[in-house]
Amino acid sequence: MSKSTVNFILNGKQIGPIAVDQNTMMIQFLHEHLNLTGTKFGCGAGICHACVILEKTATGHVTHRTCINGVGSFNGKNLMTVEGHARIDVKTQELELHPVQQAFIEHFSFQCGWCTSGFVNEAIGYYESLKQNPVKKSELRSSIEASLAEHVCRCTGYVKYYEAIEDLILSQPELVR
Amino acid sequence: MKKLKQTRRDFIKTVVIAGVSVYFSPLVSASSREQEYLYKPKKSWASGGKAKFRVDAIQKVTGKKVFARDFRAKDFDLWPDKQWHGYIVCATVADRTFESIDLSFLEKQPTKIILAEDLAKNDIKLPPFHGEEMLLTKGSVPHFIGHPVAILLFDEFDDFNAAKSRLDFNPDVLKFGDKAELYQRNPYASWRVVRIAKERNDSSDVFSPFQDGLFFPAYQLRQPKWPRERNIGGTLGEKGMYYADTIQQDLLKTNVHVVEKQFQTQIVEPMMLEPEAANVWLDQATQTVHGTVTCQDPSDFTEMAVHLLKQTKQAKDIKSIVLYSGFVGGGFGAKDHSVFPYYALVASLFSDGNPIRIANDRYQQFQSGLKRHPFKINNRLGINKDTLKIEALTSVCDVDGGGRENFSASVASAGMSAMQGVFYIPKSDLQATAYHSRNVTSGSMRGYGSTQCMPVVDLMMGQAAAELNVDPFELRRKNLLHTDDLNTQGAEIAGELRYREILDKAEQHPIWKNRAANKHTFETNNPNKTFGVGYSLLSKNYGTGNVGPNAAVNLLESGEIVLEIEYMEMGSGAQTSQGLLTDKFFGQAADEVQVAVTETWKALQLFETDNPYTISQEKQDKMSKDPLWTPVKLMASSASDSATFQTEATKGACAVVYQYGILPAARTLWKLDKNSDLSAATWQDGQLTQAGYPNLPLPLLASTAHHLGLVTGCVAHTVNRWAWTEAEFTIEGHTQVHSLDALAVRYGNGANSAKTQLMDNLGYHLIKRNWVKYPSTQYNNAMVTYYAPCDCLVELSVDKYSGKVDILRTHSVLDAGPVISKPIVEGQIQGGLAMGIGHVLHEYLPPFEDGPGNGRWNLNRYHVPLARDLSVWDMTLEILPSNDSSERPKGIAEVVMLPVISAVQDAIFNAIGERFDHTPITAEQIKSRLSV
Repeated sequence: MSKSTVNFILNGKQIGPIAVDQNTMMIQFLHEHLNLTGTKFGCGAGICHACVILEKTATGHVTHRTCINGVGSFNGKNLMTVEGHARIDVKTQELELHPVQQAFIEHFSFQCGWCTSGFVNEAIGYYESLKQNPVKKSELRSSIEASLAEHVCRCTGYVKYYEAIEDLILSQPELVR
Repeated sequence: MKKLKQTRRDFIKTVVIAGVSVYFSPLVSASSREQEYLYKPKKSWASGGKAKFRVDAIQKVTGKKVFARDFRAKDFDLWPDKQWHGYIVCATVADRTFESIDLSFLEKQPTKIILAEDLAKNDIKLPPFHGEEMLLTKGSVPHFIGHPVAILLFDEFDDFNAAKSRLDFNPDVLKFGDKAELYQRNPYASWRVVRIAKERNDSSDVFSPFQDGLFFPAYQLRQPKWPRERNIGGTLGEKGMYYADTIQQDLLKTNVHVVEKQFQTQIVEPMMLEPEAANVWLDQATQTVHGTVTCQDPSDFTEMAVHLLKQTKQAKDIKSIVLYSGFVGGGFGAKDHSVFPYYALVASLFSDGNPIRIANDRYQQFQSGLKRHPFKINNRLGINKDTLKIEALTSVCDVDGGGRENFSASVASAGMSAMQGVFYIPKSDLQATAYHSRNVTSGSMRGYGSTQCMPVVDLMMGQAAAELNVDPFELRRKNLLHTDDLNTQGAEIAGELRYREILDKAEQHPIWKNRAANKHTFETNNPNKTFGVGYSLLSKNYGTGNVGPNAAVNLLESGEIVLEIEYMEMGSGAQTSQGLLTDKFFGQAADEVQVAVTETWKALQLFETDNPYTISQEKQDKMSKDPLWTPVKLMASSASDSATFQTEATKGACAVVYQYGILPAARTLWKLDKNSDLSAATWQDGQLTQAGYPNLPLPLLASTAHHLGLVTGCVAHTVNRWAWTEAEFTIEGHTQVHSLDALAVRYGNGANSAKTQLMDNLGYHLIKRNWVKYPSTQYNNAMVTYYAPCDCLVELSVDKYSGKVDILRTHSVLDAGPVISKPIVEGQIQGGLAMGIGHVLHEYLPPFEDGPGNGRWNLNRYHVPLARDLSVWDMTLEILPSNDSSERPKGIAEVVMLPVISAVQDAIFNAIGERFDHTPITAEQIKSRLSV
């Protein structure tokens, strides 16, 4: 069994370098090696996008499917999973969600929650991108549709995910033009 | 993550089955404790009786371990860290005998291989509910495509993963002999419901199952053979056949317009996003089985697991089972009585004391998971040409149950009894037979037979309207069921039916009213497309007929409210909506809502004796005199049941604490006589108010109730059999009738010794009822009496060249009764619409060798609706306000997916003038009709 070396930043922490079986998919590495199971296995074929995680790059954010990409392909990247977005206020011990997470819970966007981590990461990537490239108000809906288009949700009919993102963006004038 | 530091004290002992103690361990709360859930969100989850977010929202949106599939051996401190992994090898043919398994191509052999002979040697058999041949015996023909043949165990993940990549899709693993006859057996069940009404307002029938009972066929050549004799004075069957014949004669009358419809529905994959998984460890030292499984029915699973284990050589001395229950990542019925977890359970007997995890990937889930039954429906609907009233309906449904029986008998019955939809049918002869086939097993998927049957009659009414040249709304209106009517089983419809109101609203809605103008505008702007509008009004029955919900509420001295419910949280929001119910009684939502609770109900000391569906009235009357007897102790978790049934127990428990804890505390604080009337007291901003007296905040009332030793907690149970139970209890010297059959109370911390001595080790004082009135056993013949209606208007376009359908706009009206949480009901409607659109337009699994049993199906070939397949921004809805203060919430999670199925078909007909006799209707099929 050939090994490859894994070395990246995840949720602000250095992972590796460690040697893992080169056939290991990123989602398997997250689950079986790091015990981070917030990233969900849906189809295992790169279709449902439940397994999407976020990469912070020099120019913005990129999402990746972890069920079809080997862990080695993430070397050198700065990555975020769903576990990494919320912050704890050390003084008040209160939990502060990312605005996208907050919008999702306030809009009752999800039900069973299995697709939620994928939606969270995709939507955060999209939301953060608008800080640099605000969207025309008239194109906001089609822009949301394009960003979340491939994510499968079996429970909700998508409406409350989409409305949450739309309301969040419209509440921040700097994100629209 | 740190390990879950669960000690044996955290295990909640529930029942002892065949000498084995069954414990439940609340995975979610234990997990939360270890995952820094000491950190509170900034805002509480509810205020003013409304949820600000779901109780489970924070855990799910931050990716915490809350699902059974998330957990590995190393997460549990009591388990060994070493995790084994399992792989189930399945047959992908069903017409050859299995001879051998060949794993020689694997770089590293499995640590263990389990075959049928190993099961036989160790006396391992599936629970009878799941049938025979857990693993296929050598020399036998598979019972179905996808029949498991072997379980391979690997002691290292990397070895498992490497082997899996060689095993997946590999046709050479299993060796089969020559062609052989397919496995065959008699049908799983066959039903026939014949009803001849008297006058419409008569409460009795000439003949009906509710009044006269059900009759059943013999089987010959694997087909039902109904009684040959027709005799009005004969046996029940002969009588039934006599009346069935009269209906055939009625349909031949010249003034009756008959619509005939043969309709075929498809095999549907539930596609809950969390594939099934189980992780099981047999602790040989203590003879305890620990497990976490992705099931909707933990109580049933553990009960069957005990019986499975006790008969085995390896675990015949088993002492305990501990089931760690987590949230369910979608189920839609397919994780209810699934056979899957038993494979991991059995594997644990061979894994040398190591935890074994089996987790389906999506191909395996398609191959092994329960499906929605395909129905072949043959209907004849007769409408009087003069009165436009329905004369009669006959229906024959052939239901394909697949390879194992599961709930096929029940689904066939439910589909048959749903056939009438929203219409009054004075004469009906409905048949449904559930057959075995070599397809993957079908089970209790959302809709439960109604999805297949109910849209068909509504479509037939639309067709009849066109053929009779009458307005479809008018034809529907003339034939709507009324509240006092009897259904096709001859049972009374319970609750108000607001069909006419919903129909009237639809007729006035712009989608319908402006359809001609909208069509013209759209087609002018889109010359390559045709435009259509469709409508359907359906009504789904809900409930199972014998339900025994439990709930407990406790008011802590601090004023915090802890609610315990029997229900599992599957995403439908039961945890959140139940948590809101305390607001009416305590002025605020519950601070903590524990789901899937089992231990607390022991305080009621209830026992059952008989099958509640078959018990005689005489036996029920006799047993009812024992205050600890109940027809049914528990209820299963299904999405459409919590709002109605769980709510009754929750409210019943809250009402007792309010009446015997809150109000006496208020009287003390307001210095009122103990019998003074406080019926006008209300909650405002978390304080109890009464004109002329100072407002009382809940913490003050709670501390007072505790100080005085008043009732501060209650566990309650009730029974529903298409009607509610009533019983009289004497609490604190007051005698009153409650909609409960059992209750126990907890007294506050200041209770005197006389009171504390009354409380058991769970801290409750059992109050034995003075008398009880259970619903009549005759209701068991009713099959269903509770209905929730929902309609759907659909506006769509059809591409003239590709046949592609685009949903442009939908509008739904739902009668949910009194709504507990509006956003949760909205979410159900929206999700139901998506699933219904998938059913009617997209989702299809072929039968037999090309179907999912071959292990080659995934989302690349099976299309579940994406947002672009729906009108996400134009999905409007209206939830009717309840107009009856005594009305109870309705079960709506299933009905919301139904009317869109027939509305889309109606709209396609409106757009292209073609009717289809199957689901789904694909773009290719539409295109072929358009080209003709």
